[in-house]
Amino acid sequence: MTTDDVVAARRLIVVAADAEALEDFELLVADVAGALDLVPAPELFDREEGGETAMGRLLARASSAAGPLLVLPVGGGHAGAPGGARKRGALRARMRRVLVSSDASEEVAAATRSLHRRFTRAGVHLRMLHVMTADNTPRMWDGPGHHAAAWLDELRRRHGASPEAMSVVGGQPAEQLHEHAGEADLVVLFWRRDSREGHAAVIRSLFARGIEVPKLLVPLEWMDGHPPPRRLPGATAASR
Amino acid sequence: MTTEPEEVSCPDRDVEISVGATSEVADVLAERPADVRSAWLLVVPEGLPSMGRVYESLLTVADGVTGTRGSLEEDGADASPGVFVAGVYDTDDDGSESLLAIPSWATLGESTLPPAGLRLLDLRSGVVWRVSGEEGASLSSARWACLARPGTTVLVAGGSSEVLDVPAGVEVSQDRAVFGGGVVRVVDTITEVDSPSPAGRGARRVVRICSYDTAAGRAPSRSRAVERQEEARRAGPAGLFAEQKAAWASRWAEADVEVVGDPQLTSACRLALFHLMSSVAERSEAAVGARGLTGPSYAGHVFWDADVFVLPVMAATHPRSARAMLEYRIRRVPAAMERARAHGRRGARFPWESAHDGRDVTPRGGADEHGEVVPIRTGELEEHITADVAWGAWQLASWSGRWRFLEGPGRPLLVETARYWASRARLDEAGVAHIDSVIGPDEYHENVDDNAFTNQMAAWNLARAAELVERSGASPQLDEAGRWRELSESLFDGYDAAVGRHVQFAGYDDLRPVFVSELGGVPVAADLLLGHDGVARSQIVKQADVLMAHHMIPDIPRPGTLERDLDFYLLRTAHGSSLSPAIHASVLARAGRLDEALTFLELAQNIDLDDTTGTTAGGLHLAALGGLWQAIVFGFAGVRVSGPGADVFVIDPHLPPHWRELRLKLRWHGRRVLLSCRTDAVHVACTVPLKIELSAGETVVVRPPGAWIERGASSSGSRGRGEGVQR
Repeated sequence: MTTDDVVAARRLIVVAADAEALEDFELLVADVAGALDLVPAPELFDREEGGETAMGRLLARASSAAGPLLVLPVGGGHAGAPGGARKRGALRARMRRVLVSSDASEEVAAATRSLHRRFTRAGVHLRMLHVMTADNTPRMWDGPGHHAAAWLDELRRRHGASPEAMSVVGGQPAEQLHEHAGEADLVVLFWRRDSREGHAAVIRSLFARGIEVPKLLVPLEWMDGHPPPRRLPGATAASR
Repeated sequence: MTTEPEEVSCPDRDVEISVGATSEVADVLAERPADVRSAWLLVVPEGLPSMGRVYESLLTVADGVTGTRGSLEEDGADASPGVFVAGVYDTDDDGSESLLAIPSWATLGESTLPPAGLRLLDLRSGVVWRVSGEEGASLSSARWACLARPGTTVLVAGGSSEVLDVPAGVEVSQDRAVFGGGVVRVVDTITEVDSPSPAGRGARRVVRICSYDTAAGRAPSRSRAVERQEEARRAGPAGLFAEQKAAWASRWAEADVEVVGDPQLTSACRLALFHLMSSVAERSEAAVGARGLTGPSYAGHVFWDADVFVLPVMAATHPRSARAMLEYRIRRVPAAMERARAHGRRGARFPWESAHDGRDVTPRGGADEHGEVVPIRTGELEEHITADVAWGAWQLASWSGRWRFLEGPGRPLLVETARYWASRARLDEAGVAHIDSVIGPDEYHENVDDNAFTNQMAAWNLARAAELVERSGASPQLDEAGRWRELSESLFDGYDAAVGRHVQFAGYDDLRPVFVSELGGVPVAADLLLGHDGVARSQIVKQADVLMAHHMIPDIPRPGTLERDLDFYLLRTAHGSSLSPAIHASVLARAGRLDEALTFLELAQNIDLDDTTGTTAGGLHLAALGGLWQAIVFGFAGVRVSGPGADVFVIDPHLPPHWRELRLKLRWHGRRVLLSCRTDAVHVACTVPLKIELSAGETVVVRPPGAWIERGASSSGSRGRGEGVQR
């Protein structure tokens, strides 16, 4: 790893439509960077091209970043592109309430647990939202009551969440995230760093609804590479 | 530093701590199995947080009285350590009953942790081994629950003193359950350090022996727990270890499954047998909850899982445990009769979920996947369990070959249940009997009439009870038995001649036809995808229902309908329940559809190993484990036991080509039976002459020590080979 790689790995890429956005969210950016032990690296994003094209460029930028990428809000009405009509005056926000989206996969649960430890140390309240879809529904489901209670309990524990900190809802993930994001200062979206067409569908769909709350895109493998101190390091796969 | 023996005062007597026990630690730890590829081992890594609690369930050690989850000795925030006490129920905050859980005795404290390593569950000896770390920060341990002396558990450990920073001493604790039962526990820890360096470092050895007295209906006895502790100390860790190996060897001599050609399946079957045998006591009564003694889920409540899925395994391998399970039901017949009376019926109606006293403890509502409380109607409507209990009693009698149990203490399990069905059924004008408003095994459809499984089980229950009464010739009941026979024959069985198969319940065929393939294949949580009302309006079935009857009571469904029922319901069954895949594997194997059977068998064998339900962290699915054994024995081997009066052991193997041989160890009619099944022949090893029927063919008598029986060339008969066979 070169010096440049090391420096790049410590950057929090912050994408904003203009300098005013950076100014308005200066404190929140500092909070996020502090919690993740990163250095903010602001970038202005050209929003001349809107819609899918801008979305593709944004994801391509996120994909090329060594670590997380923070997208600052724009007002509604400019689907897919950062920038646009920002709600002025209601800013100078801090990071106090964070909504984390989970698809209940093992890797996202592990990443959430890791993030939870970092953010909790920074005094941040994490709320986790799992939107149950056909793709992530448990394969076997014995019904409400005993089974559902056991499943919910384990789901929460795998995410490091207290019972009240995790919600499970049905519906379209982007729609549900958009709805629940209203109560958060930041939305965290883990992703597999695949910006190709047809991938990152939830992110695309969510961004298309406008970006009123800052969104943090965190590559899953970045969380893997930056785990919090673990009690028991390393292990191989189960054999039986 | 050597910990000196000390005197500890207990209320009942003084206990002297033994000496010399730690010198045996190295001897015990040296016995750790060397070949981790053995089919007698389950090997799991440490340090996988998401699987940690799943492994805790899989590595539970139990003796039928207590179960200790396989948490690491240092446990910590991610762990769910605990001990579950069989048959002792406590009240939760919301007033519901749950199996008593107490803190783990195997925690060694929050000392410096060794690097991650491996843990091995040696199924042959019932010992969980651990090897972690490296020189300077190592930990090796072995723990077990003493099968030969239930209520005693042992942990021996060796390692660096900074890792094993464990204080010596004796702790006595007592937990009382609100229903009068409870547990007293004595935990004795002995430690010793070799050649300590000036900094106090060295190799430490630890022996911890834990003894219990548990009681469901009385106050636990401290003196009994202390007495057990003293006896265990006298035996010492090496003596207890030797005893453990012998005790499990004795159990495996009558309970093994080996699939030559498929070591993973062999290992899964042994894991299933291990946890089944560990979870069921062999004395007094055994309340076997849905997760046994491996975790808190399902609150330790006793469902049909116990009677239908677990009990047959015990009846065929360790009848005393099956008898203890039935004793649990026998003692709760009065509560079942009271419930029947409360509903205006006669006889006994067993509850869908049962705990300490036999009252129905099924929650009336429960959280759904979103945490919202929704109504639960199984306690009110899932009545087939009443016949399931009777079926369990018949299983024990069939495997043991004795009427004595059914004519004696087990009699109410058949007679009072039959009496219940007689008062429950409704006769229509044409003289056909119906059972209205039930839930069958397929819980997607509630409040249905004429559920084929429930009706067929009730008919079977009535017929068997009549047989029992007629056999004993008790004249006051003969008239009643005659009515049971008539009712048994007039109960609508769901068969529809127009479609040539059994219809799951009245009106089922009118529901929206949906195939599971439209939902993405099986298993699938159809109720989550379609919603509660959506599945109720569809033909999607949660689990084996009509096919469950083919599995349990193959003589009751119409002859020749298995294929038609399979073809129809396979396409519609979601397998939302962990109970379902094994049953499908069983009936598919019997039908000779081996590729399909293997698909379901693989699903069944991995339900807990792969955490398919996402809930194994809360305990193992004991019924799925029992189902796996049944799929192998009743399905692939085609073993049939027809009743206590039947003197022929029936075998009808259907084996996949890559199974070179299927070897089973069983007990039938009080005799040890060892079967080696191949596609074309079966070897029977026995200690007394056995009458064997192979593939519905000719009956032959196999004389000790055993002989091969070949299938006839036309597949319609069987013939013996060698001197051990008499035609």
